[in-house]
Amino acid sequence: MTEVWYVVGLCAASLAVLLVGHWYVRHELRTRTEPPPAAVLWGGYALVAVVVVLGCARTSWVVLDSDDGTDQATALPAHSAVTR
Amino acid sequence: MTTHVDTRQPSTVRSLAPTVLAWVGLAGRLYLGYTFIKAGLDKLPHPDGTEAAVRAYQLLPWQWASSYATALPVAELVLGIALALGLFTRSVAVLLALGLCSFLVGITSAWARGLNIDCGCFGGGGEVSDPHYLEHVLRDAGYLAIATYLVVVRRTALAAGDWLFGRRD
Repeated sequence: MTEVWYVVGLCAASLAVLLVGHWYVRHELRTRTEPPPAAVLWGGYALVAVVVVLGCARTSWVVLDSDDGTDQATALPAHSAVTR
Repeated sequence: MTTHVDTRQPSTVRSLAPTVLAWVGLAGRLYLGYTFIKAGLDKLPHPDGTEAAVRAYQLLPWQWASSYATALPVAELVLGIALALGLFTRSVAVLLALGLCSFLVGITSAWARGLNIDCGCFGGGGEVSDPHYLEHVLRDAGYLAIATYLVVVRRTALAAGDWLFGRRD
């Protein structure tokens, strides 16, 4: 159950980051005397948004996957020399 | 009869505030820069240890851990130096804030899954019997607050970027 609530919190925090980033880009374009090109700022935001969404999805999957004890997401290959 | 009361701050106070903010920004820049330089230098000579620390989180796909462990100390070093010097301060602060968010996600997710690992933030890492998750979360939240301040404050004192690019905004 802890894992489920963790994922809910993570998704909420990720959404907050995306909203703050969106506000930040608009604020920069509105207030700076010499703003960088809008395409650069929005391109950077899009890149960050992709990373945030993928990171949130990956972490959610791993956390929920560990809940049932199978841990398929990060299972090491049989030949791995790294011990966990 | 009406009396006019001047509620404006004295001009010295108004001119002092940005200066104080800029010098506080310099302190934050140097502290955060030093922290990331130290984190990068502590990890750089021990790529195997860093890789094991990354794997201990069980977050990244197995094939990615090696590349991540190689790139992370270099990125920390470059961004730390740039921040300490005051080059592209706000952009670097945004990148560090995002990196710190990812560290917070890694630590809290390990906590939520009941793993017993060290964060490996300054070398080391891997399984431990007594993890200090709360301590690491609070520490990274503090770093995140400094990075956010550097984004918001816009100008910091003695920034190399201002001298190089002649910025006066």
